[in-house]
Order: sequence, then C-alpha cells, then structure tokens
Amino acid sequence: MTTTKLRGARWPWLLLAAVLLVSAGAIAYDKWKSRQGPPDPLPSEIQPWFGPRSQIELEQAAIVGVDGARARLALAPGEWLRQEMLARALVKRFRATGSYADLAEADALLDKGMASSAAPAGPSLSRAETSLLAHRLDAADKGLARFFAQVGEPDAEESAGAWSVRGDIAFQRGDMKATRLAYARAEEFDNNTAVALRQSMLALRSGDAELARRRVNAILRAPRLNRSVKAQVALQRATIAYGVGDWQAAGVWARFADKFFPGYPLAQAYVAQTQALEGDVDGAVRRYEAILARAPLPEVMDALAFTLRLAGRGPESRAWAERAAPLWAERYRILPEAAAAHLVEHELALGDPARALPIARADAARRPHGASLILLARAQLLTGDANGALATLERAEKSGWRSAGLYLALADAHTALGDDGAADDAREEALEINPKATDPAARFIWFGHD
Amino acid sequence: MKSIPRRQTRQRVSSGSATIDRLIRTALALVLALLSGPALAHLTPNSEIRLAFAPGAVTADVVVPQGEFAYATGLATDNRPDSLAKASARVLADMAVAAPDGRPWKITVNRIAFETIAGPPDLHLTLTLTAPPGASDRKLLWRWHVVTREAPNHFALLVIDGDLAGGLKGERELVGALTATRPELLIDRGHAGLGSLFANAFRLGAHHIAQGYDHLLFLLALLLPAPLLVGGGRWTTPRTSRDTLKRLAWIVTAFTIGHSTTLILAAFLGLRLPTQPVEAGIAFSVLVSSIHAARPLFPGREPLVAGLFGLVHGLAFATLVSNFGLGATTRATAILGFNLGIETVQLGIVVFAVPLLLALARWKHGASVRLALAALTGLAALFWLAQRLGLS
Repeated sequence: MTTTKLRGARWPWLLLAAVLLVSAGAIAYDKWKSRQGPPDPLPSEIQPWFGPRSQIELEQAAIVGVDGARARLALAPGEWLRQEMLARALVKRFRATGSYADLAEADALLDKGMASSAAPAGPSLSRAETSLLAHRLDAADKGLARFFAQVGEPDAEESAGAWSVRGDIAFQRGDMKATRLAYARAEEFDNNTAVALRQSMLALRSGDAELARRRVNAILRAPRLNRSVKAQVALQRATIAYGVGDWQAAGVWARFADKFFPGYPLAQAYVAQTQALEGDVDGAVRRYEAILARAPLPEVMDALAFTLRLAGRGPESRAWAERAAPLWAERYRILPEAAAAHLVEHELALGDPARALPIARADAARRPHGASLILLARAQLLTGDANGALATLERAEKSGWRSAGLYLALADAHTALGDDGAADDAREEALEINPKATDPAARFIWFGHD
Repeated sequence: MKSIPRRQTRQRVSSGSATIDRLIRTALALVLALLSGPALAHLTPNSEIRLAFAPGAVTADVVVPQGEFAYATGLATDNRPDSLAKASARVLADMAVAAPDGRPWKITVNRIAFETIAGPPDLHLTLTLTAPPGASDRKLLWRWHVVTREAPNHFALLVIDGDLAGGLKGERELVGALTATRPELLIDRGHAGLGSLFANAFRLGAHHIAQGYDHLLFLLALLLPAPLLVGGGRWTTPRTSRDTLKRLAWIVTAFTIGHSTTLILAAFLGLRLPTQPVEAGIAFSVLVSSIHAARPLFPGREPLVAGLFGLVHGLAFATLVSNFGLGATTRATAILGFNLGIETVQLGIVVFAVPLLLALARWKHGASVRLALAALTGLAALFWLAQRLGLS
C-alpha cells in the first residue's frame, strides 16, 4: 500500500477520533459548567420589599406587635387564638432582640392555648414551631401530631410549614434522610423561601456547598422579601462561603447584610470577624465592643472573648467571658434545651470543658445531630475521653453530616489516640471540603463557622 | 429506606393557624429556618511536647502557642532577656518530670524563644531532662499544667519523637493528650542496652543511605568513569580490571573517610552547619560528579574530591546523630552502628555496580550509555540544586 493510500485509509478514523474528542470535551465542559451554577447575584441588584428598614424599626415593630396582641388578649384572655397571636408576636420579638423571656412566655402561652382548645383544634402548628425554637423536639412532635390529626384541609402554606418543621425535627435528631424527604414534601406543597433556605442549610451540612449556594442565591434574588430577611439570608450566604474557605465572598455578604439592614447585631458581628480574618484584630475588637455597647448579647461577648484569647489578651478575654457567663446561665435557667448548645460552646471555648460535658451529653441525647455531636466530642476530648470522642464523631459521620469542622475534630481525636495516619486522612477530608480549614486565622470565625 | 407517610385528605373543621395572617406565617417560617445556625465547637491551638530518648538523657522540644501562653499567664511575649527568663520560670513552675518513685528529674532549659515555626508565633523551648542517680532514664512521669491550669480547654500532645535505643527511627509515637483533668502521663520505654542501641543505629544508618539517593548518585557518578583512561580531555579506552578495582577502592574509601570525619566531629564536638547550604552543597557535588562522568574535570584526583565532598555529605548525616546520648560509650556505640550501617549498604551497592561498570567500559555503546547516565544525573542534580536553593 502506498503512503498516499495509507493516508487515505486513516483520515476517516482521525475524523472520528476528533469528533469523539470534541464531543467528550463538550460533555465534560457542560458538566463542569452545570456544577458551577449561575454566579452570585451582585449585592447592588438585591432589592427589598416593604418592611422595617433597620434593626431599630424591626424592634419597634416587634414591640408594637406584642403590645397590640397583648391588648387584644386582654379583651378575651381565655381565647386560644388570641393567645396564639401574642405567642407569635413574642417569637418575632425574641427573634429581633434575642430575649429568651419572650420565647419562654410564648411557650407558656401556647401550652395554655393547647390546653384550652378542643383537640385536634388549637394552635398546633405554632406549638410545634415554637417548641422547635426551644429545642424541645418531643413537644414539637406532639404539636405536629395534633396538626396532622386535624380533619380540615390545611392550606398549602400551612402544610409546607408543617412538613418543614417535621424536617427540622428529623434534622436535629440526626436523620438526614428523613429531613431530606420531609423538606421535599414541604416543597411539593409550597416552594417558598423558607423551604429553600432549609434545603440550603441541609445541603451545606451534607457537604454540598455548591447546591447550598445556589439555593441561597435564588432567595437573595427573590422578590417580596424584606430587608431583615434578606440580610439574614446574606449571612447564610456568608456561612456557606466560610464552609468552603471563601473568606472574600463571606466578607462581601457580611458587609452587604450590615449595610442593607443597618443596626443588625449579628451582621455587625460577622463584619467584625471578617476584620479579624483580614488581620485587623484590634479593629475587630473595637467593632465587637461597639456592638455590645448597644446590644449586650452573650454570643457576641463570647466571640469577642475568644478573639481576645487568640490575640493573647487574657484579662480582657476573661472579663468578657465572665460577663457572658451569667447571661448564658440565665438563658439556661429560662429555657434549658434552647440554651444548652450555646452554653456548651461558651464553656468549651472560654470556660471549663468539665462543666460543658454533662450539658453536651444531655443535648446530644435530645438532639443527636452533627453539631451537637461535635460539641460533645470536643467536651469528651478535652476531659480525657478520646475514645468516646471518636465514637461520637463516627456517629455524626454515619448520620451523613459533612463539614470540615467534623473532620478536624476527627483528626484531633485520632491524634489523641496516637493514630497519626487516620488523623492525616481526616485532615485531608477537612481540607477537601474547606481548603482553609486548618488556616490559623480560621479560628477567628465564631459566627457561621463549620 | 425510611419513608414519610403521605398526607390523608381531610375536610377542615377548625384550624386556628389558618386564621393567622399569611405574611406572619411566612415570616415565622423564615425565622425558624434562619434560627437554625448551630452552636459549634471552636478550636484553640494546642501545645506539643516532643521527647527524644537517648541513653543518659531525654531532650524535650516544647511548643506552646504564643497567644495561648499570653492569654493564660499575662506575661510579655517578646524576646527580651527578662521576658524570656519569666517565661522560662513560669514553664518550669508549671511542669515537673519525676521518676516513678517520685524523685524529680533535673530539667535544663537549653534554649527558649518566642518564634514562628509554622503559622502564628509560638513559645519554643528545648529542654534536657536528666534522671536522678540510680533511676531509669527510660521511665518517667510527665506532669504538665502549662496553660492548662488557667485554660482548661487547652491541651498539650505528648509525643515520643526519637528513641534510637528503643527502636524508634524517625516516626512519632503519641503518648497522649495532657489536659486540665489529666495533667500526668507515665512514659515507660522499657529496657534498652548497648546491643539494641548498636543494632538500631546500624538499621538507621542503612535505612538513611538506602533512601539518600543524592549520596548514592554522587558516588555512582564518580565511579562511572573509574574503569576508563583519559586522553585528549576525554574518557577513552578501558583500564585493566586490577587498576579499576584499585581506583574504585580508593574513591569509596576516601568518601567513607570524608563523611565519617564530619559525622564523628558532629557527634562528639557538636559541629553543625545550617541544613540548606549543606543540602545545596550535596546537590552541587552530584552535579560536579555527573559532569566529570561525561568529561574528565579532575582525572586521577577522584579520591581527593570524594574525600572533600564526603565531608559535606557527612554534615547531612550529622543531624541524625545529634541525639545519640550523653555518655561517650553510648555515643561511640551509636556512631559505630550508624556508620557501619551506611558503609554496609554503600559497599553492597558498589559490589553490585562494579561488574556493570567494567562491562560498560568494554561495551561498544558504553560511551553513549555513560553520557546518557551522566546527563540524567546532572538533570537530577540541577533539580535538587534549584529546589534546595529555593529557586523552584
């Protein structure tokens, strides 16, 4: 066969190979592109709906709401519907101010409402939702059971809310599969922003930060959400960014939330920790102090105390930790289940792990999800029970919880047990999820860290 | 798979919730979703204590995060003499090492500094611990309250980083984590005599040279043209086998004398050079020997060059022998074992290479193969040189 003939015989094969190569490339590119998803919305594109324009307005509205509901209840103190309305107003104020007294009062009112109404009527869904806020899962279950026992057909939004609460309960019980199914049912009834936000949180804690990001972005772009809600969603976006080590994006969304809804302490705290991450620890400390001058919240005190600790400023750190301690104790007294995890967080970072251990154990027994189990494992590790810590963390991993924090905790447990190989593997897992997981500066992330 | 029961269709009789304003419900649902940010564990940097056991003494390399030290003690964290003295006194006050019968070990601070090792700065101490008379130098109780006394959520990892006599060669062995609630750990390394020290040192030397490709490449590149005569600035015809063997023996002996000299000086007189120039010097020696394998640079003076570069190679081994014990006998035993380990592997490789070198010198393609091997060695040397000089 001549060279020309050989060339002639080869070209169809070369063409076929080229076509296959181009097709494979196109498919791979499409798959890669679809994983990237649409880019984040620009902060300037985000528009608010009507509603409070600042934290002060939100608090004022919450106070007015509570006063109005209280006045209406005074006209007919035995009516469970009015009790439910006041309870809801109180929950809103709790959300605005962080007052556990409001949450406790709402809880008591709903107890009363449930007792005074003939089953299966009554404020069942509100009961379930508020119990969930107070981390009382059994009570939330009972409320839901009563809601689903109603003979009447609830509207789609109510049903979505009920299935969302069922998902939240499953989530806190560490059953990620049931959570996913419940949220999917909620979505079938009403594909609203609350469900999308839950789906985003679930995706993040299952290790799919990209899906979490896309869902939150959809909410940020959504119309008819007020400034307060969008600011909180922006902080959720920042939390997702922290989860994957994208500190730059986290800073953008924290600062957006702070500007979009001025005076919001949590957004300001996110900005403060961003400052610390950027190396301006003194600036972060000043910002935290400014927040606390207006809103003496124990979680912000803890963040400040921890930042000061990392900076080696012992006396100041201890002073803030000591100011936070009685506030946590008071919250724990009012609503022990709701405050337990935060109290454990405080004790582990700034107090005594031995004090944290029994509270962490009880919380993990009630709510055996990843976050509670990681806290318990940390308490176990710091009190000398590395084997217990490892077992606790393996339980969290088996539940489907995926976060860099989980794998870093696993690495610590393996190290304490002398298994350097397993510790290195766990550390690699953590870095795969969050490339900045082991960066020493990551310790400055108090809010929304993984 | 766990399934969620599907909803039954019902007729509404009464639902208080349905009467609530739709907007309020949406807001509350969002509140619930947004409140779910969990409380999580925050990590604090931990301390680390690395112990190296040697006959007669234990050395401890202690790293305490500077921020945690300042947080716990309130002491200054700069490198002024009085700050360091206070830091040293504080650490010594908050720690103790004792024999199982309770008698204290002597703790000497060799070095203390606030410095950056990796990440944020640390307080870094090097301690020498000496057992009380008559007590075992391989069994001790480590008591630690540094930082953990004031910060119960801090912990220190206690690690055995070296125990040549006990057979630990380079790998770490974790003893445990020292916490506020568990401030003591007992370490018992068992018994180890001079025999096991010698055997382990031998294994360490053999292991080190077997993995020291740069050392071996230097020697092999130097041996590559040994069976050849020089003519007109090139390697030409083969020598006699007898001449070749004599030259090979001189080169290998000179290299051995060279690296053994610096090794012994390092072990007994504490001779040290920074790692980077030593490692770069070794890469340079490989480069020189590879060029010499291609074109004669110093014909006839290979033993001298092998001896001189051997001094540099010995410095690289010196870091491994820095903790071979306090007593002259134990140190000499360890050095002897280590060096014999090196020489045994080296000799084995030379014995294996000699017939190949002789055959190569007589093969018609021998020159091309030699040039190719020299080029590959030169490339490897250039890569190492760039890497060790921080250029890549």
